[in-house]
Amino acid sequence: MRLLVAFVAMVAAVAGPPSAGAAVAALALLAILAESAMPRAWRAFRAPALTVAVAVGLQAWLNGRDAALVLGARVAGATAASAWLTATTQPGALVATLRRLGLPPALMDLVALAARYVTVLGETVTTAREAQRLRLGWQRLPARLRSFGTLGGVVVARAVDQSVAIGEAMRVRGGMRR
Amino acid sequence: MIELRGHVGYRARPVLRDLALRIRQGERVAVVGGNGAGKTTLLRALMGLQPVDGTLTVAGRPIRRAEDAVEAGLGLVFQNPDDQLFGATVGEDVRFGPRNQTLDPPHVDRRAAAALEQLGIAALADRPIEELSFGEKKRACLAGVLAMHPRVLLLDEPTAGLDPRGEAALVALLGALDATLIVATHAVDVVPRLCDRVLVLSGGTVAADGSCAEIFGRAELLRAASLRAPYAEAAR
Repeated sequence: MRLLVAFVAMVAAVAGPPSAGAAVAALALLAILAESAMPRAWRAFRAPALTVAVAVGLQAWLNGRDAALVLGARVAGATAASAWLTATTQPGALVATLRRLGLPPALMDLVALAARYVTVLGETVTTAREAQRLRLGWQRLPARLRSFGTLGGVVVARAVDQSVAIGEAMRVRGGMRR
Repeated sequence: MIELRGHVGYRARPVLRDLALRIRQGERVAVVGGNGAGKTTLLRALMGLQPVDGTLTVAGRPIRRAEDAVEAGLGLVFQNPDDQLFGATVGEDVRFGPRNQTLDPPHVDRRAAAALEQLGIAALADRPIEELSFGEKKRACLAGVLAMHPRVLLLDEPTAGLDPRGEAALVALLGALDATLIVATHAVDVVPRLCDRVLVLSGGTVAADGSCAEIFGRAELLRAASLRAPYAEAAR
């Protein structure tokens, strides 16, 4: 049911008039607040929200305020609806629903894996950043810049290591034969 | 002196509750308990990485975030070395902390060299982290924290994954340190060799607090906390 509501809301936000996008964004935010899911939604969507803000700013600069408002309302509506869905629904339940809808198993395996490893990578970022904080890596600007650069490298390296390990784990359970 | 009073975690859902801890300078404290008892959570709380609903002070200074704890002289060694090491080489990683303490470069190098020497891994200074064995990584982690000259060293499962020789060497090294130690572990055999005070975590709180002899003599308490007496104690 949530999946259906979110899907309809996203379509309405993107395909409808800008006011629909704004209404969807407002409703989704209210729903997130009502379900006390704001911290989770913010953690998952702060990066996309920043990207949207930059895109809207660019649009305003290049094509004017009206164009920026149209883009902003639509993308904000769609983003807020998907934030509501992911912040208030367990990834496992979401994947199970999509499976029941008859999506290809290989695609669903991929979605399940992605859902799992977004969390794992998020934890990697959090832990590495904590390790840097415990050695004062985020206290002053020069240290912050160094730590930020190192963090990016660490996350990419660990993502690669993790993907190799997962590939091996899949192979030893026959997961690469399909 | 470290003082922690209150609950660890958010008010609505505390992970550890009704804490009234006092750890004096120079004490060597083991935090023991079964899996999920909250040992790591307690260390993280002391380091300002976990919210405390109550008060946490070190030498009277309130600790609200990790940077406060580090500046008060606390240092944490993670359980999994891969979570802690992020430098390209051992030397670079060990220099990270002293450099952030805004020491001048020669001083940073001296601190790093001394810590590597102390851990017996000076020869690994230029070695890439990914080429280290697990035991070497553990030592590199400890060197990275010791290079910051902490007065209180918190260690999360320091002997996990080490072979008996590595474990003995680490225990000897930690025993020779001039720092307050807080060691979270379920490796009870190590505890009497390293610590003089034991906190038992069970049921979301400190179930017991006493000397090694007091705690490890209480079979019922140990059973309830999913622990056992150290083999050396049991054989007495």
